[in-house]
Amino acid sequence: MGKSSKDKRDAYYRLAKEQGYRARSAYKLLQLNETFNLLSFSTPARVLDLCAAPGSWSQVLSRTLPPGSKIVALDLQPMTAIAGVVTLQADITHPSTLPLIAQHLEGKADLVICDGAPDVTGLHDLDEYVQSSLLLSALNLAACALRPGGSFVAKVFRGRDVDVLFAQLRCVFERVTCAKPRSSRASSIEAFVVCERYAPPDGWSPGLEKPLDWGVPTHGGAVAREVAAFVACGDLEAADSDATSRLPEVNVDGRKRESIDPVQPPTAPPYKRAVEMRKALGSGVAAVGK
Amino acid sequence: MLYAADVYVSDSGEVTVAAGTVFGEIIVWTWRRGAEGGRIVKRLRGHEGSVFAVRFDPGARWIASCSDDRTVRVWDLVSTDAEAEAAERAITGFDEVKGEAKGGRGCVAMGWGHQARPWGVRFLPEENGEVRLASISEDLTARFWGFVPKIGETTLMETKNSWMLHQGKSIWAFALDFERKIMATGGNDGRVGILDYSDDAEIHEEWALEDVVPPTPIPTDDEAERSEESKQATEKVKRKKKKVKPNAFRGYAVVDRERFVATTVYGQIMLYNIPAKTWRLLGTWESLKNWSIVSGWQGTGIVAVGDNEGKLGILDINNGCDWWLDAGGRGKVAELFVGDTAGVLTTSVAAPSFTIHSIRLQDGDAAPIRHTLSLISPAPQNFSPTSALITKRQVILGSRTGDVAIYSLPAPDSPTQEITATSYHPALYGTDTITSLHLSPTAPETLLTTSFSGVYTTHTLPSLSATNITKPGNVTVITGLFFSPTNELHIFGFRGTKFIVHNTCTAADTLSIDCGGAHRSWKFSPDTATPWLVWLQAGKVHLHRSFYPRRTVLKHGAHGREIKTAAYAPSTRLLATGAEDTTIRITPISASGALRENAAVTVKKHTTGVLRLVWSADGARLFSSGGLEELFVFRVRPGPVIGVVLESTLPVPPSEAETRICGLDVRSHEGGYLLATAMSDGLVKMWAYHPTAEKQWRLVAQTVYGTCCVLQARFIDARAVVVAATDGHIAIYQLHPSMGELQQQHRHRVHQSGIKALCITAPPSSGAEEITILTGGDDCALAATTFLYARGAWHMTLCRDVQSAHAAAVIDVVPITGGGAVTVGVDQRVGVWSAELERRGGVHSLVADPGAAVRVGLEGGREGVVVVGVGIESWRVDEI
Ligand SMILES: C[S@@+](CC[C@H](N)C(=O)[O-])C[C@H]1O[C@@H](n2cnc3c(N)ncnc32)[C@H](O)[C@@H]1O
Repeated sequence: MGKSSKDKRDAYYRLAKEQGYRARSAYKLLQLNETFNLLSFSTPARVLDLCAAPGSWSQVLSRTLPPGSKIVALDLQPMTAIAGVVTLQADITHPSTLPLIAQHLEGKADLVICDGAPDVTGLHDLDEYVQSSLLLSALNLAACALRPGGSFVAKVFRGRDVDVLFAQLRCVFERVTCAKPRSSRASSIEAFVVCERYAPPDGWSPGLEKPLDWGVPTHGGAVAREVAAFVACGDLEAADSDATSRLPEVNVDGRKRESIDPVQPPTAPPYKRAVEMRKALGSGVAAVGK
Repeated sequence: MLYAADVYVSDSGEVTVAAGTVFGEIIVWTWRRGAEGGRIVKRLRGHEGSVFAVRFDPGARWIASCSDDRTVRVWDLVSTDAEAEAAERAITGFDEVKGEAKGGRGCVAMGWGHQARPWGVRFLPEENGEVRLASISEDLTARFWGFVPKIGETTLMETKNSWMLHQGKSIWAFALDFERKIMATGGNDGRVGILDYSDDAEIHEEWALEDVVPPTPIPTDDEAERSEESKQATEKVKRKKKKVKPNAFRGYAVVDRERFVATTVYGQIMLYNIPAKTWRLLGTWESLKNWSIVSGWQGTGIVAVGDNEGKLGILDINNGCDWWLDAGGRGKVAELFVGDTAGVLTTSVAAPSFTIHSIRLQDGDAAPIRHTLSLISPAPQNFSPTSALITKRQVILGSRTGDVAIYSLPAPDSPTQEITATSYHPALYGTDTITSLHLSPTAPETLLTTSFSGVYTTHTLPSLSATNITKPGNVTVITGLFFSPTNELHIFGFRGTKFIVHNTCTAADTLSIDCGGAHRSWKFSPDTATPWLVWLQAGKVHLHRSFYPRRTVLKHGAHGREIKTAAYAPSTRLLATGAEDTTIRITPISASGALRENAAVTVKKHTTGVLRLVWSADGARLFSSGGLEELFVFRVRPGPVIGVVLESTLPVPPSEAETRICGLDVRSHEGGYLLATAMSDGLVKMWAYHPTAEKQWRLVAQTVYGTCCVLQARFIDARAVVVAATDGHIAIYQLHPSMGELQQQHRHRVHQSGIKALCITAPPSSGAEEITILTGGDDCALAATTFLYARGAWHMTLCRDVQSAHAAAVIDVVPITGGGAVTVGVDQRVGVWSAELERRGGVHSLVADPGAAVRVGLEGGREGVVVVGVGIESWRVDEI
């Protein structure tokens, strides 16, 4: 297989490195904030960052929120500590996670953000299912953790049936927008749902015993669909994540330009041992045939 | 989160469920009718990554699983006591598993081997006390496993067999028929294939020399004897003095479908009969000691041998006769090639000429009648033949350094003694060894060559102009080819340590034998029913024979990964598709809109995902662009076998910038072509391409659109180009005639973010020059912008849009007659719109991750739309 058709090191990688962010994702939250003012609180706020590793969104939170704010960040992967952020290692799909969050949040949250993404398999149905399961778990946690009027931001894959998902979110939030920051590649189906003004319906109390599930029936019995308004976030002058730059072969001081490493190297993959086994068995594969 | 599950219902009605989690755990729980809820009975831990599949064996004795950690494991459900661990865990995540080969508690077997994620695993019936399994994987292989269970221990499973079955990435589905021993697989490439996996449909035998060759008195010499006597001499000296070369196998020749001969260093020729499993010594010849070269006229029982004295031996195996003739060269016979007819060509080292012998056998043991002719070497010293095609009328030779020489033979009764080459083509396609030459069985004027570097080429005789150059990649060293009875072209050779036979029509390997690699003596009998390979490995002769049909393709697929772009040439009815798997496929489309997948060809040239394809107006050329500034021009000839030749590559200086050519348009211009390219570095360029000119490419003009990625470029006419970019703007540039410069005339924001689709429609007979540009965006909107040409420039007159035309990005807009359009969105919907952008209809598409759509003409003047993505779908516009 040849190289993939995209340059992995775009302007945001360089920027993240310069500004000390652990991942280029930081700019997605910053650009979402430019449009939706998600982080402008006048008094200390409580924010829950789900699927937070390596932690660039939490870095944005800790740099932007008023002093005294409470930030709880959670991920399956271990995270390096960030000043002013409580980091937890847990699975958002597991029932034991909610009490854990409640214990550290010490009150209702003003904002819940989730940038969660599973490892993609390449089988579209499975990937969409896993991504929407993750989103559903995040929504259920958000429903339990948010104060009325609070906001929820989550990553979505805009594929088949996203309109069903938008309709669902509209049941518990007054405004649902589909936002695409300029730092998220146009070539990716990733986008963010920005759900504002949490308003659980009367008589419904969130809880994990009866969690929300996808698909709200309409009066006609079919599943409700709704296309959320689309908003592109970030200044047009901001760097374009799809652009490749015409970099000179040498940089200003005349040295050959070095390629920039991804900001945070990947964590130990599950197939690490398989790779070691293969090495141990020599270049070939474990005896094929007789 | 759960990734996989399987259910077992016992005779007593108890239900057992095994569920694989994203954290590598397998939770086993049971439920009985009447019970309040399920009860977790076991938690099997050991996998170090998400569990992708779990499966009970028919007796619920075992559970098989496979995981992101690349292993396949088998768990003991009966003997192990994992109950102790069944308690709910307070927190999820992975457990620490220590030790290399420990599968975890209750794991009785573990198999390593898949090179990417395994997606599925199943049990097969037990055989000889062994538990058997089959697994499928992202690495495109199906693997068969076996192990003898040892309770309380983790056994490392053995791979019994593995087959590469698909292209691109991932086998997703499989089904097994244990009775007929066949497996069906479905891959991401859209293909459904059947594999005959039965063990006895394949034989493998191996022999050490001493097993088959009768003991011969070891040729001793004085020195050897002396060293034997001098007891004080050191080991080193002894070995040095001992000049006796041990006997060893040397070469092989196919006698017929069931027999082959093997020669030895001691000058023996042995015959092996495959069905009878017997070896027989045909004879020992002094002149074959240390050097012999052997080849057979397949199916005749007659073998030709070249010896160390320059003699050609003809062995009639069925009648037990042999004759020795002067081969006509100098010194030993260096190479020997037999033809389809009774011709045989012999060469000697660095000879000025080669000898062609026509042999006619007589009745009984009378010497054969022979006629010889010298072929003068086109380049003595430098032309060393490695392949030959010998017919009654001509001889074509291929050389070690990639040269080809063609000789026309005189009439059989002609007194001519020697002839020179009628044509000579040094380094025809580079300097790689030409390993074989063949005539096409369907088109005798078509010559096929294979080369050591993994390329096979189709040429037209006598000019030898290439009509198809293919590097399939599946076979990295191509040593030969043959056609099946249904004329499907198969190539064979080596990939890594394997000998591979590859069907180029189905792009599938039909045979794969681990023989250690290309550097050994070997012979392949390319029989389509029962092919076999004989080879030397670690001093032993091995034989592998397969019985077809081992593989059949039920449904031809397309690309191995999602299709990004498509283009249709109405004049030839050819659809070109380009995908993330870096390949281009050209497929004929029938009048009903169906794709004729079995007549498709695959073109591998790009090294990155293909981004854009454009046909020339006459359908004779296909232009394709991708990452790393790759832009290729292919000449395409329709016909029963579609011919594709790379005509030119856009020359670009090497750069680290990794610029992609995202947008491309082509129009005919002054006997050549004009191209417009939209680049990821924000540039827009215009090129002139002249296929026959000395300098094919000329940069006409270029301009900087901005710092964002330009996605689209489309000609309005030979002077004006409309472009669109990730910033949601469209812009029109006009070529300034005198300055060779592109001037921006208009720029206007139509979409909020990237413009993924753009097409130009013009009212059929508008006297005033008016065009409408239809665009589809990442912002889900569809827009129509109308321009009028006046006073030497384009002016916008109207701009309309539909904000939420789709629930996700609009990836293509296809104009239809009457001024309307068909749109395709990532939401997997296909919409039909009027010229006024009113929704006329819509359907759900089954093509996930759609990449593009094209309009095709159908029978009865109807219109169709072909949608490409993960799969291909065609719609009749009037049915949407
Ligand atoms: C794109 S990354 C998040 C990047 C992060 N917002 C930042 O700016 O650094 C997605 C994360 O989702 C996490 N994740 C996936 N599934 C999860 C689950 N079930 N529970 C918690 N985290 C999960 C992954 O471990 C991964 O770190």
